[in-house]
Amino acid sequence: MDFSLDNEQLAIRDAVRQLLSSPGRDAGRWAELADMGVLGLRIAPEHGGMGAGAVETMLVAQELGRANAAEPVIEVAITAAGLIAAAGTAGQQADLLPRIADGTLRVVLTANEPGASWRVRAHGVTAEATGADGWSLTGVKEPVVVGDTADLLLVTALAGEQTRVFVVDPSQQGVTRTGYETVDGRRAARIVLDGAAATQLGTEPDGLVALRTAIPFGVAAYAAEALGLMEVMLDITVEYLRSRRQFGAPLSAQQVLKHRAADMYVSLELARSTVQYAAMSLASTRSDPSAATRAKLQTSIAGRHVGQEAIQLHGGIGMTDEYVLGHYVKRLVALDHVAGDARHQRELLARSLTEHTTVDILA
Amino acid sequence: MKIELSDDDAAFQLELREFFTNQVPDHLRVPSATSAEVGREAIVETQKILNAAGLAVPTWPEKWGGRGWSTLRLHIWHQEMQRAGVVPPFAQNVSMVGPVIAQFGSPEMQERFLPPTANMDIYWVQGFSEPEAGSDLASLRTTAVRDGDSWVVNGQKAWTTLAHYGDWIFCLVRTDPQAAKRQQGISFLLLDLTSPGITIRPTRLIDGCHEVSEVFFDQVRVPLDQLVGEENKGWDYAKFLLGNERIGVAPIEATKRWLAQAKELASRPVPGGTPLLDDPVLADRFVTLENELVALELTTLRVAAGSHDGKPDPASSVLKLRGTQLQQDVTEILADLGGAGSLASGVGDDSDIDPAIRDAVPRYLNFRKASIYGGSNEIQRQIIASSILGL
Repeated sequence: MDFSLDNEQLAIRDAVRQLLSSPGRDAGRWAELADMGVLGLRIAPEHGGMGAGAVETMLVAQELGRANAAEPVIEVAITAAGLIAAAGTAGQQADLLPRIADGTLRVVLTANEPGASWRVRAHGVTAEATGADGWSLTGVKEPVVVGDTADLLLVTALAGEQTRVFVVDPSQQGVTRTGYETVDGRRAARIVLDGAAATQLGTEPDGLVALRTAIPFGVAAYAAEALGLMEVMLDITVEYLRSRRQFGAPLSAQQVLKHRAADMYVSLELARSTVQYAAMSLASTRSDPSAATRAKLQTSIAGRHVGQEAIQLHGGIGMTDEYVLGHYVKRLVALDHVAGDARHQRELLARSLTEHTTVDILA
Repeated sequence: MKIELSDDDAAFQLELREFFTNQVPDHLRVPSATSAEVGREAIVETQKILNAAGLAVPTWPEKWGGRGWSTLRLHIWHQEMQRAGVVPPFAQNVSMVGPVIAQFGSPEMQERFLPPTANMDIYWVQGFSEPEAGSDLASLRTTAVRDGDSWVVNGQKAWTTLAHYGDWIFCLVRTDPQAAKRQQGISFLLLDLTSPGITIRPTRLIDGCHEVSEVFFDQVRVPLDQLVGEENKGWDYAKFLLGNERIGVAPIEATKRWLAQAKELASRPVPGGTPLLDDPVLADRFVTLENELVALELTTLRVAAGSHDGKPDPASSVLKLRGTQLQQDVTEILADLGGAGSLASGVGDDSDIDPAIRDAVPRYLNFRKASIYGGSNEIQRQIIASSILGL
């Protein structure tokens, strides 16, 4: 039991923080993230990555949140790379992973379907075998985060009764992408597959095992991103309470506002504990399979609380587009709709509610 | 970062688990009871067993039975005890007056009081609050005036927990009404509750129970050598005492037991219907509470891992605030589960209604206290805002 970070982990965190604090979200920053090794965090050294663990992943994601950085590190370098590493053939891994690590290939997982969010199983996209190794995919995936600019798609589809993962080149005929802006000012796409040519990722007839291995890392990373967002939101709210004067005194002279800030802090710290737990758990051999779900649930609850209170405690300025706060709030709201909101996490946890008497951390 | 216990700590945990489950008699293992419910006898008997095994006062100096454990081990000790349903050592003795005497008392006072305090041969109660001194403790009015070989105490304490079980009371009293700051005129005094001039009057609470009392002092003579440390330094000692409450400040294991009890009740068959837990709205509440408790336990472990001895950690305020909120939430869900059966608090044992259901509403009412005592939750928010957020 140890909650401290080692020097190497602190160095990664500080380096990423420094990189992301430089302004701009140009193409150059993606390459810099690659140079720093961030895009190869979850990729084995033999494929050009760092082979780092879940704790390092959490630290990077937290920094993405602190900077509200739009780079799709979690989608590409954590979820998709993790899925390729878990399911891909040796050839696919050797082909794709080094290019993810060096920043020249953006691959994203496309799972959402219209009306069916955050499911591991495919429903409305079907795969037909077209030869020895070829498949043909038909159906609609939407929304696909980063889907309009991704170089390659990992598409979940039903082959008969089973969900498998397929690699699809989105630039081919048979794939129609319609890109649009999301609530947080980022990009997603509607992707219509009409007999699109595909190859299977790996060879297993059942893709769910690999999906369930890879997805929790992404879920935990989104929870860590939410934590980073909330840290900054509380900081700037506290600073605002100190500096803003009304009725001849700083807002911080008002006990009711101080107490509400204290409650925000409590929400934040409890969420932080579950994020660290998810990272430690994913890094452990004695992993708690629901740790990422727990962290996502706790950050989702805390995110609502901190986001709403941050705006309210700022007053009108918190509503303006020119002030930084609202952009953090929007990303926090968006994170609820990426990889599952609180209701979804509760639904997952409710399935095993009667399988334990109590939840024991130090069992 | 690592979630597993080290091999040594894991062995320590197993050793304690074995002791608490096999060496403490079954009648002293009452998983869901509160200390008020188990009564004086069980508290005393349990602590004597723990003390004989060196498990009653691990936080004290080693000379007086302390163990020099890490805060993580203290957490494990506390958790395993509660997990086995063992009543923890009595806080007033072990976490409050004991450490103050060990830190500030004279050698003679330590010899006289620490061994019986550890062994529960003295049952201590706390005399801090007064009718006019609740959260604003420094406004206390009970006085002690030096008269020959004694202090003469006059005044009144309020909300004294389990005073009717007590042998002795440790009090904050005003010894210098002229002090420049009111905090500077307070001393820490030890009184035998059988002294002439002391009257204890029960304060019946909304759950119908007698848990707290008023304690009146009328010309009570107290030997001079029962003043702890220096005269007029009592406020510092009280702050030390309150800062000592880090382990067990959030009653996590006990709350987990109650939630497990509630879940078991909700899983039972319902005549002509389905178990309550089949209701997804109720299941949702359980999932949320379990997750909040996971978050709180992890936060406690973080604080335990990061705390520095002797210095109050403002994170304790987070644990107290959230710990009592969740404790109250769990008493609430228990009260909700009983349906009409929850009306039957007065039925006694001659009933088909489960005792946990019968007692649920009184307990729910009783635990409204949790966000008031030990520094109300508003005081905790104040500490978080000022000490942590700098507001």
